[in-house]
Amino acid sequence: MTVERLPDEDAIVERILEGDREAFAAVVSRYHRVVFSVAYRMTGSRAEAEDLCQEVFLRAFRSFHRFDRRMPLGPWLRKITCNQALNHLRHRNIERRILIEQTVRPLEEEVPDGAQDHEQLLLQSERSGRLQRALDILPPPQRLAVTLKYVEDLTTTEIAAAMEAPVNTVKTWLLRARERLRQELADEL
Amino acid sequence: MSCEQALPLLYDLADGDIERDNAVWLALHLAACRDCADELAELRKTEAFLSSEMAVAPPSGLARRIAQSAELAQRSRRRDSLWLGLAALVAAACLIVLLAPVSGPPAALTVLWEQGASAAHFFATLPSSGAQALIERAPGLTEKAADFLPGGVSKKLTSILVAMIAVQLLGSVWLLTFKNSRQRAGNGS
Repeated sequence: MTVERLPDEDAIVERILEGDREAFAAVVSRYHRVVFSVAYRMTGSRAEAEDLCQEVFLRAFRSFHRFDRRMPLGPWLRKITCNQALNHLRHRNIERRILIEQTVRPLEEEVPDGAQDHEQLLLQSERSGRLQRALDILPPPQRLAVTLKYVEDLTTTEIAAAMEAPVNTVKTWLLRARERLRQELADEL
Repeated sequence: MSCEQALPLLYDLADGDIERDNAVWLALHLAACRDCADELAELRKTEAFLSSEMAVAPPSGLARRIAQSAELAQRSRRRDSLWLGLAALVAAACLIVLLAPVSGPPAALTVLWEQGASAAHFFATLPSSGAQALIERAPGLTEKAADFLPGGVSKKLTSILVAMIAVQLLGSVWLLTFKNSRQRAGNGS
C-alpha cells in the first residue's frame, strides 16, 4: 500500500461509486497481498487472516461514498486494516487463540504460491513460523507497528498516521518490539 | 554519549530517521564503543530477517472471493433498500389513513336518518364530544354508527392496516434473520 496514487485512481474510485464491480476487483487485486500479510501477522492464522482480509475490503466497499478523493487509496485502506485488525484481536477469544497458536501449523499453511524447491519451502516455512511465534508474544499495538514497518517498509510517521497514534509512541513500540524480537529470534539471526 | 543514550539512536539510524546532530554524536560513539557497534550489526541482521520474512503470500483465489463477497453485499444492500423503501411507503400510507379525520360517511348518516331527519342534522353539526354523549344517550344508534364518529376510523379498516403492518414487520424480521444466518454460514465456510 504505497502512499503514491495509482495512475488511474480517480477513475477507479469514480467507477466503484457507480457500482462497477470490476473496478473494485482491481483495487482488491492491487492491495490484497499487503492486507493479507498484515492480517496474518496479526492473527497468526491463515483462516482468520482471510476472514479479516474480507472484512477489511467489505468495510472499504461499504464506505467508499465517504472516501475523501483528495487522499490516496493506500493509506485509507491501511487505516481500515489497522482498525479491523486491532478490533478483531480485542474481540476474539484469547484462550482459544493461545491454544491454536501453540499447535504446529500444517506445512501448506506457510507455503507461498509459486515456490518450487521443497527444502527451501520447508526452511521458509520454519522461519516464518518462528517469526510468527515471536510476533504473537508482542502486545497488539507493537505487533501491528512492526508488521506495518516490514510488510510495507513504512516510515514511523506513516505508521503513526495509520494507527492514529503519536509518532513518539510508535517509535517506542517499534523499539520495544524489535528488542523483543531480537531476543526471541536470537537463534535465527 | 553513553551506551544508554546511543541505543534508541541505533534504531533511528537503522530506520533512516536520525537527526544530523545525533548522527554525528552516534558516529563518534560507535567509533569508540565496540558493544554498540556490535549492537548495530545485530540490529541490521534483525532488520534484514524481518524484511524478508514478514510478508506472507495470500491463498490463491482470495482476491476473487473478496470481489464476489462484495458483489453479494451490494446485491443484498439493494434488496434491503428496496424492502425498506416499501416498508416506509406502507408505514406512511398507514399513518396518513390513521391520522386523517374521517368525515361522516353515508352509511352512518343513513342510520341516523332512520332515527329522524332533525336528529341526523343535529348529530352531524355537533362537535365529537357532543356526538359521543348523544350516542350514549340514544338507544337507537347502532355500533356501526359509532364506528364513524368524527375523527375516528372504521374498525375493519384499522384491522386491515394492523394486519398489513404486521406482515411488513414479519417480513423484515424474516429478511434480517435469513441474512444473518447466511452471513454466519459465509463466515464459517
